[in-house]
Amino acid sequence: MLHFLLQLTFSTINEVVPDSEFETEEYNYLGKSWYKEIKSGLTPDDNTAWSLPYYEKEGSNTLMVTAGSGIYSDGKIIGISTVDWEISSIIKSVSEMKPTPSSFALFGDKEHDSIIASTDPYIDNSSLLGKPLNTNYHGKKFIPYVKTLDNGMILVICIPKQELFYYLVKNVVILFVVFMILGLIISTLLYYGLKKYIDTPIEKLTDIAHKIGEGNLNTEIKIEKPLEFAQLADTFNNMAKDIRSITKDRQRIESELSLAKEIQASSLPNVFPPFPDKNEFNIFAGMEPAKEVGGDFYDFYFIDDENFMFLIADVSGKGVPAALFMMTTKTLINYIAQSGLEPKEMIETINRKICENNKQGFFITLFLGIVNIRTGKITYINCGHNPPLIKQNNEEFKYLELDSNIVLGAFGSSEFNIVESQLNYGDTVILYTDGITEAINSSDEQYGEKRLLQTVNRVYQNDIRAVQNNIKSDVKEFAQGVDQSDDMTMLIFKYNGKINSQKEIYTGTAKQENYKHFLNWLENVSNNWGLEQDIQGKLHIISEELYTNIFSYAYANHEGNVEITLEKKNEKLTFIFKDNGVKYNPLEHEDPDVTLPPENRDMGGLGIFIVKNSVDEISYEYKDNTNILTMKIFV
Amino acid sequence: MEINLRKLNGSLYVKAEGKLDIDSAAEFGTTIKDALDDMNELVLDFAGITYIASIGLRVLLEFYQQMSKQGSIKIINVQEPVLNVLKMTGFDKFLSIS
Repeated sequence: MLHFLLQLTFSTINEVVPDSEFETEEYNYLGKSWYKEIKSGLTPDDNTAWSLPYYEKEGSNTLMVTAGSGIYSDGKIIGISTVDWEISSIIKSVSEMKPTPSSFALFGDKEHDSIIASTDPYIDNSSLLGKPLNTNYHGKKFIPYVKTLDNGMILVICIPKQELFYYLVKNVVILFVVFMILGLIISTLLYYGLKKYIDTPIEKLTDIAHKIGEGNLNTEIKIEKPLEFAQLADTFNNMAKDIRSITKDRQRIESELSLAKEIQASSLPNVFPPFPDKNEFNIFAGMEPAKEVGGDFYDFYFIDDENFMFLIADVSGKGVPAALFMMTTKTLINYIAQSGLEPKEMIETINRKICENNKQGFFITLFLGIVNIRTGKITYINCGHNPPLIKQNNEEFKYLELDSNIVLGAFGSSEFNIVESQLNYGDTVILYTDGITEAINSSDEQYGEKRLLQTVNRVYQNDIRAVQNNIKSDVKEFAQGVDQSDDMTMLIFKYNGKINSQKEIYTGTAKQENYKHFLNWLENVSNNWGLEQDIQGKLHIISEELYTNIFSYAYANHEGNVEITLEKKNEKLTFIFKDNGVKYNPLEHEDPDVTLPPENRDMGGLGIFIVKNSVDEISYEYKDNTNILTMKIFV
Repeated sequence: MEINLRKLNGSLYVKAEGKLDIDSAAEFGTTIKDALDDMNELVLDFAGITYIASIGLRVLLEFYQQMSKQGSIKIINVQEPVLNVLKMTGFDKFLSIS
């Protein structure tokens, strides 16, 4: 049998060194324990075996351990190859195993129950068994890691539990913090990214919503993504477009309505005084429309040379239909009134005609008066309207109670009653619509007929325009800013009586010698008309001052004519001086200062000053080369 | 117009009746001025004067100017129409009127 041995030794520097020492005859390795142990340890399944540690006397004189594998020929073992380790080099390697600062390693032979090496300075060299699994050393808890080697030796790494977890926890904490920071950074980036992605479209939408809210409907919004916002933006744009179109329609209707209101208002007579040459009466009327077009109206006109008709009416309902019906009715009444019918026949015809064209069921309340301005005879017709206020014979106003007829437009066959009465000088009639009496204040109280009567008596004066304005102011004050819900319409008619008109004209050459002649004429006229002495005195002074001026200044260089007119209409005297002399407006002359002491006085202008202070009205005009000075005195 | 003059102890007393107008003013003025020399007082009794206009006022102003050098002037028994004109023109401020 051929035996050979391939001996390799691991030195402390971990180099494989072939060792030829074993080939000598003296070294009979076949009797060595390590050889026997390895050879017996080889099995067909595991061709590697370890020896137990042994002390090598012949070679290195150190504690050794050997591993070997069989070398076979035809299934028969012919030799083994071995590798030796010096235990000390293993111990060195073991001692370097230090996963944590206080951990230590044990290297031992379990079969012989001995610790070969330990890196723990405290552990005593006692029994191996029971040590590695005992986790308490010197009050510290250790966790052992045990590895059994092929030759039955064990390697134990003991790690203090505290340190193991300290490092574990430390690492976990570091990992955790790192992840946290990373997570924070990522989520922040995500937040800003998303925010920008979502906020920009939301800001755009908010902006356009604001603009639309402010009435700027021509704005358009453009968002392409995200898709949801793009769709929302489209919806916004469409909405703005729709509102634009609706608004345009509404503006058109509003402007047409306001135009309708203007047309309606301008269809009512609104120039006062309407007949400046008619002194027999004064009339003033006005309508304050409520917000929308309404159905109130008033009207007045001569229906022949002597008969003057005035009326006030209120069409039921409001808005455009009522306004259209009102216009038709107003025209119809005017047309029929001018046709020469007697009052009763006239109103019945008006009613019949209104009924013929009244498919919508409108009705009209109306109060109408027809005055003969020469005689003062008046005919009243009341068709369901508020009773007018009347002042007669200088007494206070009161309501004119008349039996009312049915409203116009109800039945075509209705008969109407008329009432005849007499107006005298100064008698006044006030017509109004329910917009006045039914005006409400914030406590929901109505202005009412009683309050109207009190107000009229309180504010009445000669100027009927002022009367009307004062009444309306009082109603508005009462309403305290509550929106006017109905038209406020009022018409005031004042009869000035039969006109007693007298007029005389003097003509002659203006010169001092003729002054006496003119003065005689003036005295005669004044006496015939029965003028009071003080009025005659005024006329005398005026005549002297003006006549003197005319022949002294106007005709200073040549002779010329003077025409003097004296006219009396009821209580009003009109005195007119005309001359064709030098153009001169005496009213332009500044008044003399009558407070000056006599030493500083200039007598110029004193005559005109006396004239101006003797009359109620004075006016000058120059027309057709004529100076015309007109004065009025109320007697 | 009727004008009566009476002198007593340097005082000229004038009683006139009618209208002091464009016809009479000149005569009224001259008559009185002629009698005014050496007088230290002029008394105008207007009980009968029913009318005065600017020409009449001119005459009164002349009297005042002369009398303020040699004495005083006063108008008595002034009727309402005349008083009105005197007041209107401020003559009542410097003429002694009663």
